[in-house]
Amino acid sequence: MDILKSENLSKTYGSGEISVEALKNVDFTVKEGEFVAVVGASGSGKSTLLHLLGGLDKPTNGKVLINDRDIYTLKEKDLSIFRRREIGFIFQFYNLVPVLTAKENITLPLLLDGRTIDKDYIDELLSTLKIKDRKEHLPSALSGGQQQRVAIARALATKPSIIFADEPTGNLDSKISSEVLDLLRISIKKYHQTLVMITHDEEVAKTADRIVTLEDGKIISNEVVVK
Amino acid sequence: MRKYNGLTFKYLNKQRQRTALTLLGIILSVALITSIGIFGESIKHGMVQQVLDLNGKYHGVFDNLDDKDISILKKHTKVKNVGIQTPLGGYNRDDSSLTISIEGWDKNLINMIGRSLVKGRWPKDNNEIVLEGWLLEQLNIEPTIGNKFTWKYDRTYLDEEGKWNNFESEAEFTLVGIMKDSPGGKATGSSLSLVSINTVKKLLPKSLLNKNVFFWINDDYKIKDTLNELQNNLNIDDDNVRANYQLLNTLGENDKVNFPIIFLIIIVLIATVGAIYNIFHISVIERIKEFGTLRSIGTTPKQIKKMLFTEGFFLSLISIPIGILVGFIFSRLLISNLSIVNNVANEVVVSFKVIITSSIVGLLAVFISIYNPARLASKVSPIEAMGNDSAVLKEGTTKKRKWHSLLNSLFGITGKMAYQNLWRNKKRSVVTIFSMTLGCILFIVFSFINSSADFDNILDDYLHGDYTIMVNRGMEKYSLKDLENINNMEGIKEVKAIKFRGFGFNLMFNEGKVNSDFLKYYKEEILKLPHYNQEKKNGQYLLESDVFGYDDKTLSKIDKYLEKGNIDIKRMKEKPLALLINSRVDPGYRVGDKIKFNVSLFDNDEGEYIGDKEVKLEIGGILNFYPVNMGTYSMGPGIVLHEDMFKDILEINGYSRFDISIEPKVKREKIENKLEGITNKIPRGTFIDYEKEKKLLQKQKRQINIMVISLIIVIGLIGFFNIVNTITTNLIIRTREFGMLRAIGITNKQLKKMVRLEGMFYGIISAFWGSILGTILSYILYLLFKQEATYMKWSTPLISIIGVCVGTIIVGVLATLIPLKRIYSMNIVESIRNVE
Repeated sequence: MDILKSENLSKTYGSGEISVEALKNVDFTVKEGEFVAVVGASGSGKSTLLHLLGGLDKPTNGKVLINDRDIYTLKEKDLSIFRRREIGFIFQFYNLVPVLTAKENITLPLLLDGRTIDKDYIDELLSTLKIKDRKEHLPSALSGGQQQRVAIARALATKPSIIFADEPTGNLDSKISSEVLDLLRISIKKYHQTLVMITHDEEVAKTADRIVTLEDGKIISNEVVVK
Repeated sequence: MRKYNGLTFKYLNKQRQRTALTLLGIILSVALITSIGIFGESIKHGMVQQVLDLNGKYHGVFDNLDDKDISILKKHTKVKNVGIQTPLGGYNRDDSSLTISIEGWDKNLINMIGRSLVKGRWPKDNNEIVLEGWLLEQLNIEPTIGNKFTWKYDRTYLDEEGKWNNFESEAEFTLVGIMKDSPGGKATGSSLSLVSINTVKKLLPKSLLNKNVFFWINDDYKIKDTLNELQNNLNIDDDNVRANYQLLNTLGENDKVNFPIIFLIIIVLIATVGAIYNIFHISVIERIKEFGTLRSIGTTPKQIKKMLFTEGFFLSLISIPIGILVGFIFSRLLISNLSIVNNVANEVVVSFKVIITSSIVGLLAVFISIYNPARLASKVSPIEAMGNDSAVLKEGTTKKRKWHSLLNSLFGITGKMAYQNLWRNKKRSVVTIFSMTLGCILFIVFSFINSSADFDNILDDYLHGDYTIMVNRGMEKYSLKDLENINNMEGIKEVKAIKFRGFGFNLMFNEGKVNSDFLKYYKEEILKLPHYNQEKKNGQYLLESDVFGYDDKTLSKIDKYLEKGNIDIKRMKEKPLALLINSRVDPGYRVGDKIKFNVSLFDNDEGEYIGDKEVKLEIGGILNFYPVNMGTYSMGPGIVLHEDMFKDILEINGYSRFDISIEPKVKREKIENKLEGITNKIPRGTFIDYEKEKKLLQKQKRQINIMVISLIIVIGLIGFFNIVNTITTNLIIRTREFGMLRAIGITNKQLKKMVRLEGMFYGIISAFWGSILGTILSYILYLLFKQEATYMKWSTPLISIIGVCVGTIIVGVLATLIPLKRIYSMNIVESIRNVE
């Protein structure tokens, strides 16, 4: 079943002579439980695609359907709520709130949603991501790898159906990168989640179920990885 | 761009909004300092003018100068103006209810003292005289120029053996002019009549002629020093020197430091520097990346610092003159709109000093403010600045766990985050909270001063109500019937009735029973007075005292003057228990002492002397002030009795004074007519209407209020400016964080709540400290001024505290409106990309 679908998705920045077409009529689908890697050169439109799919930006044209729901017909408030319930984001620079502890950062989306915290689930996440003993630390007391694992836990905390990751290991060295990626893969398998990840790293891309390659705002290849 | 410094101007031009904001901040601060300066100078000028109008334009008087010294003084380079006074004597009438002195003045003195004519001209020669209008009326002299009348005049003098003598004579005078009444002359029954100096020379024996010289020192010289110098040069005894102390005090020549003003200026300076600091700090933070870029292409830290200082200098160049102008316009508007009738400051005085001080302070504030941000900017590491800004601006975190769980349960996670965000940059938050706290402190302190200066109380102290009917000389008194008539009039709120006998008692004392200072004062000053009864009675010294009989109402309101003992009205009614007023030299009596007086008794109707008796009074309490001023003071301590006891001892039924308060909004004219009717039953009775004084006081109070409120508003504005800047800065630094928060699904409402809470917390913390410090400070002020301002009362300023809390919270929340708009307008992707 397609969990995510984009139709004719386009994004133009600026207008007139200085306008830049970052994305051109992209049709793209992701199945439930799939791990899709998005690759492409700098400026090919990867991040734009990810942001549009995740409802962070507004497309110039086209639509994005998540669970058959056109997310850009939602009001700003409903879109915010939809995002925090259905989507998880992981960024290259972790983007943790520096004044909150690791555990608080992880539970933040739940708290924003006014939901009660499923303690067992959070503990399980902490153990799976091997940050249980760091949960009371502030981000400044965590290493890069640990911070990114907290960010992953945060993305998983609301049990979203899709996780978007923008070069989650781009800022980590290779050993820690593979460790973090392993944990991410284990997690999404365990909780039956869908993952769309931008990466520069071919090796990382090869671990996905499918690799989508972008160039000049267009998908130029869409290949299932044979393992 | 010819020089790298050109970048500064390019930036200023590009970031117009920020530049405008910075300019506005400096303008506001400089305007504040300027207006305080102009206000201060104008008020001082107004007060000096008032003293000059009242006392005349002279710095001092040298008595008994000879012509040689006068001509030295006239030619002295340090002396600008000299006026000569030669007293002739007093107009000697059988009726002693008025004191009329006749003096010869030269033109200079008339101008210096500021007397003016209503009619006619000044006296030249030939027994020409000028009188005050009210005196003509009182003496039933036709106010026609050319009118002639004969006056007896007398003059007391010390003869060669040191004994007091009296010179008496008479002369025919010709009225050549009518002077404007001197203020208070009628109420105190004293009047000045002017003749020419030549007339005095003609009418007095040469040995009695003396010249007193009033002088005004050149503006370029220090008054006090010059006064001493002149005294030494001319070899004048201290006894013959009278400095115009009221003027010297007003001019600030009395070496006293004005702490409240200095305190105020320091607060304003701190708030100002804080505001400008914040502005520059934020503008540097906004450009951190730019500085990183500059550093990466090889700009040295020194060059970056130089760029910022250039920027500050340039901004100062524009904003300081505008600030001074705005301050000028602001204070001018306030002064001219508020003192149409008010005479505290009726002229806007702008001195060079104020302009220079404001400029220097503004410039200094800018440079102090730039110093830190410039250091920060010059230290930016190129890589860090371009990559990740939070790495450059190291942020502290707090660990006050207890608070956090409370906030969490109160406001949810957004509340907790908001509170912690407050402390991410401690220094900046402290500056912001500090400036707001200052606003709160000022508000509480000024409202305390305002409310403690209870208007009714001041009126009570100085005016005793709306009207006074008074007779302070002679034997005639108002009757109980008069009192009842007034009490029964419509619209009367309260009447306080006072019995009085000037010089009614003679204090009898032995050498050993009083203070040595008092004895010295008695022997050296009092016994030497002309006509003073030097005889001892029964071997004891005598000293005249004024005696008052207060009614219950008056006695119940004079607690504030009580220094020792207590006021037991019930006992005072029945027993010879008195309150002693020590206003000159303390004789050293204590509460509980019994002192003897000799009392002369007079017939109630005819005023004939009946005989003497001795009374013994116990001192129940000691007062430090004459609660009711009857316009005459004897040399001895004042005695206050209950009116019943007064009647028993002195056998006086009548009243000498009624202080009348009326209900608000009654027809004054009707009451005034009736009261004047009662007053005029006794020819020497005086009717005083305090409406003008009351209005003047009200106006002054209103003006002070408006001044204080404007000050609080401007300081509040600077505080507001600070919070806006701080919150904006905080938000700029956290742009990416907001992007992330929105990405993980924070709604605009939640974001708004968080940012608003942040503003609110600034308000709450400022209100907390402001309330505590303001309360403490108001109490300290109360302790400091309690002695001088007896009407002051202190209680916890609850209303101001509530006002401060509500005000700061509103200001805090309002301050987030602008930055919030900025966050909304930012696209999530942009915010995240902003740094990635």
